[in-house]
Amino acid sequence: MGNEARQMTAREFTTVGTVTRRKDGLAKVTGTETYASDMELPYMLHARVLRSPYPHARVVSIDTSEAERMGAICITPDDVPDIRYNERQVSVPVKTYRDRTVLPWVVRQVGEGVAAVAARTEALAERAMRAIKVEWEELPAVFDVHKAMAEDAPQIYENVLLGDAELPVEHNIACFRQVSVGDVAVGFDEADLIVEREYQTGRVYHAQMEPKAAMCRPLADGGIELWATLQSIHNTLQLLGRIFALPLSKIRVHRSSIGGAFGSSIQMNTPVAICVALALKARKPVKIVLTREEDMYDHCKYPAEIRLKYGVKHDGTIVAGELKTLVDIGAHNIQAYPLLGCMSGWFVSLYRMPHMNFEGTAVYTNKTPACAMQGYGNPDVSFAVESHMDIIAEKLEMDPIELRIKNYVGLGEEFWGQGPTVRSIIRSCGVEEMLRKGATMIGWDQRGRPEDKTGRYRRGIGVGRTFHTSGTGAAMPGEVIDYSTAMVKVNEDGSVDMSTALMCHGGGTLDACAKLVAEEMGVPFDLVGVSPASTTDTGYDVCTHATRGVYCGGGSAVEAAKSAKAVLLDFASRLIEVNPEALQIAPDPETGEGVIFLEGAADKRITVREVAKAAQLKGWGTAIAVESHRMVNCPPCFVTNFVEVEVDTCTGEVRVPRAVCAVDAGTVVNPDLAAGQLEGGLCRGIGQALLEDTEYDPRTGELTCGGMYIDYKLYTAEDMASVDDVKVFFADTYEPSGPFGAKGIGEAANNAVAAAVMNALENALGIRFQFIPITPDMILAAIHGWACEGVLPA
Amino acid sequence: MTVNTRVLINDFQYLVPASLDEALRSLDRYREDAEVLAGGTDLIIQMKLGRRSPKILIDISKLEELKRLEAGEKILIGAGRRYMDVLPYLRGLGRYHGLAEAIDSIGKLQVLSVATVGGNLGNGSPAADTPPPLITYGARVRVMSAHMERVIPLHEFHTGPGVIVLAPNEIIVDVEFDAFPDGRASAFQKLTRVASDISKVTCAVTVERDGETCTQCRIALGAVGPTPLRARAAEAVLEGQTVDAHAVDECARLVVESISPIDDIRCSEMYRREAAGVLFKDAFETAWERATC
Amino acid sequence: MLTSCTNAIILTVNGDEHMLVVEPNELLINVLRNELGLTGSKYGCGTGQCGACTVLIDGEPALACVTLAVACDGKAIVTIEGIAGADGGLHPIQDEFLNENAVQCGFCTPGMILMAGDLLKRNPHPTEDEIRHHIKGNICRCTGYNGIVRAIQHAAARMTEPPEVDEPELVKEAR
Repeated sequence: MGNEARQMTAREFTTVGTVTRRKDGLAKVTGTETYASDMELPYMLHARVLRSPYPHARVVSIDTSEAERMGAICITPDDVPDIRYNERQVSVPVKTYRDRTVLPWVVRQVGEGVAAVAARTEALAERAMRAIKVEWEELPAVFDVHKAMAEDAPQIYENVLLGDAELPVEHNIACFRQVSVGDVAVGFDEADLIVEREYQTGRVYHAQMEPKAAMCRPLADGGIELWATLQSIHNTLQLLGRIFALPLSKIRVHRSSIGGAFGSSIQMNTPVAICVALALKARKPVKIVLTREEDMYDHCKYPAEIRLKYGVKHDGTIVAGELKTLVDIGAHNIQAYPLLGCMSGWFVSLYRMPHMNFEGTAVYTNKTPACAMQGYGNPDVSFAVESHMDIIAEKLEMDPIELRIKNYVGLGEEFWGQGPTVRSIIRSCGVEEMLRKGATMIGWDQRGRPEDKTGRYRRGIGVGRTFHTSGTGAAMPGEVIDYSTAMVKVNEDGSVDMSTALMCHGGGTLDACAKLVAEEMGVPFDLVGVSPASTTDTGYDVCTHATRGVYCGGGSAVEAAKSAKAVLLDFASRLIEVNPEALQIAPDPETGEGVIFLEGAADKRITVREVAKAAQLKGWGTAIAVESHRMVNCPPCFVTNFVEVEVDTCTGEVRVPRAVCAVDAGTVVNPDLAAGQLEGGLCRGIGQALLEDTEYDPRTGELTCGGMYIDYKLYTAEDMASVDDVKVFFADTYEPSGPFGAKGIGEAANNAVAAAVMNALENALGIRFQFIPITPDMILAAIHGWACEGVLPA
Repeated sequence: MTVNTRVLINDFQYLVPASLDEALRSLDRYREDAEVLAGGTDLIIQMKLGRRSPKILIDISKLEELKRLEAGEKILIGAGRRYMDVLPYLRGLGRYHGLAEAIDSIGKLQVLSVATVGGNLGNGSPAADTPPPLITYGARVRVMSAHMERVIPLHEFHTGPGVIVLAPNEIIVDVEFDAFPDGRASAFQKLTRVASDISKVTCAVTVERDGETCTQCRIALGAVGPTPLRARAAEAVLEGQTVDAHAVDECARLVVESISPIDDIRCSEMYRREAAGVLFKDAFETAWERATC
Repeated sequence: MLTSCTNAIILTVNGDEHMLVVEPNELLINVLRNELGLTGSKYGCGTGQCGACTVLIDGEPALACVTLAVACDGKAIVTIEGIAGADGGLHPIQDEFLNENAVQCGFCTPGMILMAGDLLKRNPHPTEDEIRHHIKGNICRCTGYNGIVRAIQHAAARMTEPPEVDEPELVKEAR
């Protein structure tokens, strides 16, 4: 194929590292894969939510009589439990900010739902919803973080809950975090050069292909069954149990296929609880599917305003760094507190700083609530830091790559996987390999200087490097819950079932876990089945987020496989009279099944199938194990992107004709799926750098694009570089703490791209931008010297 | 929010007339209450957004009378002929690059397979792609009602954003322009945010060339004013003149002066002004080169 | 509730004839998904922008989310569920999508496969530019498109090999 990814050797592994067809692929290419939005039950009702046209208002009254006359089941804030919760259940309760209710009496964004209906068809539900009369009392609204913190700003919340305690909210500040190491005053004093700049990232929308959906069936015993777009079935289970006062054993949340996530369903999205409430009232199944415009009002990425200051010595050594960030979180605090912690962690873990200060402030505004999107603050921090590194390199007349190599946090050093409370020592690192090899592949030494470039079309090459955490494991309990439960069982025909509540968002997480189990069990990959999952048949898995699927989820699957294997080998030892410690299992390529054997003894062989069957017939039992496992590390998966841009200096248009993307994911379990992650992350990262943002009309609080794809644009196939011009490779590393040496990749694929694009633009034009997305308008303005926000002075 | 893009809840009657006559009589009867449905890619979206709510939908997509495609002294494009057919036809004729490029730029094949020039014109959008090249071709629009037929020069067809001179009981039947003589060629340029998108700025240029002299010049732009605009003052700079860099620059300057763009979600007024001049030069250069062949 | 506006239409979908009673305002995408249970065509945006609802109508690609079901009376519709290889197994395009990692979350996949099939019918030897041009109306948020382009390139190569068997039909035969 020519793609280096395909040549990835599988070291001493049989299955891990091989290229296989994804197990859910057949269903997906034949259109039979069932997503939550495809689910259907007999006598199902369709729901619609009545949403606020105002950015800030009190509901004075709701009259549903007309809707009810039309035959619809209706709910208002009176019909739902009045419990405040946080829809994301990943943080421990004492660190969880709660400002959400199922249906509120005060709305704080355009599009916030206050009532809902269920009817026989979607069209009927829409009509019934429009027939509801709401009396609103408009309240003053604010859409800008600086205005929101001002003395005279409208107060969006009086108080919220932090844990179970009431917390007054002042100046609309949702939360604040400050972390420091050493003393930056001392550090900056020691510096020979100080560089300080402001940066700003856009309020991007996840734009996952599938808008949110939920379908709930009320059960005869008062319980419920749920299918929904979720990244965590267990967190949803617990939240629903708490909200609706149901025992968890009466709630069954199924894992549904998800049409893309990118972080948008870490939290239990707003339609879920509304759907459950309607189903409980209607005593019939209810399904709700958000329109695209509702989905765009439901969540967006955390944007960041960043003020970054580095102090360096003449030789390029960083002595101090300070990052202050202001995050506009919109109408709800979904996960701003852990975000700020993570951002401090990303900052600390990029480049060594003996002295460091981080301050993060999250501020409410009357806009769509922000939530995690791939990278969770990392693309923003890396955008600022990697731009800064190029500025510093230029001022010191150092090669930008050498500067990075001099300062990066690497092997043996401390990595903050989720802020200050989750730390690991780095035990595998491919940073230098990726920088050097990538530089050669892109032609770094021929990139030229901007001042020498002429002509209408100008090219430039830029680099960006960063990492993401592989999950949030740690040796001690912390602010963030992280463990996975997996079950592995050997069937009587020698096939194996793997059951876990992990999700696959598309990147192949479940395939990777199945590969890890196959490797551990010694059976062919084809014989490992990924079981459907629901909360009643799986143990707790926190969530498939934080790039933890392979490292943490796979880690627990391997533990379960080890335990099931021990049971199986014990059975085998009874049959062939060999000490189980001496037995091995490996797939027999000729027969296509797993074989248990004693090395060197040709007569001591028996198939997994024979053992499992014998154990059943003899009543010994099933070779089955369940393990709940917490990883005690969170190793960074490093990533490097080299990007070449071409700018049309007459129209300001930018395209990316070439790129090199490299990741250090330790052992790469699924090479082609991992390559696909890098390619996808490249596309989304370029979108963040050059294209995507949501803006609000300050008069109405509405999205200027109305929530529709007519004006929220996404790159098409015709916008992207040719297949031969995007090169992907993996660093040759092995993570000792990871399952068969594996780390994560998911979010890393995205995190450094915007920085690389920014740096490439600087190399092409000699102009440095501060804000992303960098639109053609901004580029022309910068070239012609028109007044323009977001262009840095020379 | 009163938008729901998953379902259409507008109530309407759907009529399928068997002939153009029948369609015109229905339209005459229902007038403002009715809209014609061709490809539907614009109309259905407008209905979902609540911007148009016809009580009667008259499906004209099957009417053969609207599907003529003819070439001779004049080129005739039926208002109901799918772009997917029009595009290869134009390419086959070999000369009408500007219009072909405009149609091709509309983007996705799923739209080209149902969308029509009649629908594009009938929408009246100042950002529509086919009016600028057609205006430079001196195109004429034939419209009919149950009572009469009239021909309207395309450059008089649009009177405001989304406003056209079509009466409620009229249908666009076809668009016609004179075949190009030798030495005449056209080009079209468009700027968008991504590859398949509504235009930010478009420019169409048709020139007639005799050696280094431009004997005729037509320039039209889209998305830079309340209607597609013809840059007459700019045309005058080049017509009858020797073409050199100075003349083209001067012409570009006048193009920029002739437009009245606005800020909108796609780009800013300043960007449109700057880009209009650039697109004009690109389109002119291409058309000028083509005019020698 | 049936009204005097209600229409009875005949749709041939993936080779099967269906008589359906629909309101004039029902969209093709919803009729396919809700009445016929063919959930392979997806609602992604509702405004004709993302291509996830792509189907073939009388052999030509169209967007079901902006098409009225009544306007399809008498027409033949093909959805992803109607795509298969000559032997009823995978069509080469489907097969190569799996080989070339063109599928991640899978939501855009049905539309992509239909457009790929349409391309290779019109142009059996497309260049990469032609491939990208043909699928520009189909958004993919996951893959960055490279896997999809490679899959289509490989399918094209396979489908234009000197055939040992008959060229695969894109649509299953009517029962």
